[in-house]
Amino acid sequence: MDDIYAINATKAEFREGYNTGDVDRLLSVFADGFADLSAGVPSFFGEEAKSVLRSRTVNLFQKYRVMLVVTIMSIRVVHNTAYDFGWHTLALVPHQGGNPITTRRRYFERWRKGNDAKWRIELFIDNPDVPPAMPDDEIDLPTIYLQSSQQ
Amino acid sequence: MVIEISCEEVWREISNYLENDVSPELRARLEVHFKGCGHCTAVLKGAGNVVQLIKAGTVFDLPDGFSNRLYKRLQDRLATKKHKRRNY
Repeated sequence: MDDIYAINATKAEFREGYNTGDVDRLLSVFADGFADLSAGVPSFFGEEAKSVLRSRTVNLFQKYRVMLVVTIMSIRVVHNTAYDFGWHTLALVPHQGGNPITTRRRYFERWRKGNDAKWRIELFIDNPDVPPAMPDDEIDLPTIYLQSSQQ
Repeated sequence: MVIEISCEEVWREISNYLENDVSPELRARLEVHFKGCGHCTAVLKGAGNVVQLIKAGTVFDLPDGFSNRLYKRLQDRLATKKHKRRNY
């Protein structure tokens, strides 16, 4: 199995971890002590990151059925490190009924190939996607910073 | 389970996909990707349109005498090659 295919396969495990509500399957994709720089939540590093992610996803799966669509834009492999980026489109359907919440986030991941030849995510960062716009219609940078500081 | 595929890989395989020259596994990966990726779907449709246009021979009218000129040029090219081979 070549490295690109192996990363695609691991990313499919990531997707299925969410879509089946299987926390262990999801966590198996992350390296021990990875860096979690997810948008809208505090950053966690080292041993704490995985336990925080477990706690977050257990909580998420208790409240919602998750449907994740992954769109990988590109994967680059440099020796035992790889980088990929793309989009995660997430639909959260409340178990107790109500309208689903749909979000689209753009993400970047750094991967590390372990001694067991398995690829795992060692850095994850994302932020909410913004609809495409012509350059003239872009929002001023200070406005964006104000919006994010109010969150 | 369908394995993910990146946009860059999709673009490399689009012409093979249109020509039915991909494995069933790769076809499934591409089709799942098209469902979730509007950009690649647009590229697929664009490539499909180009293939349709080229297949529809009536779209491109050849100018008068084009066939004769092409035939003559090919004959000249072949004659030149034969001449060069003999001299070698």
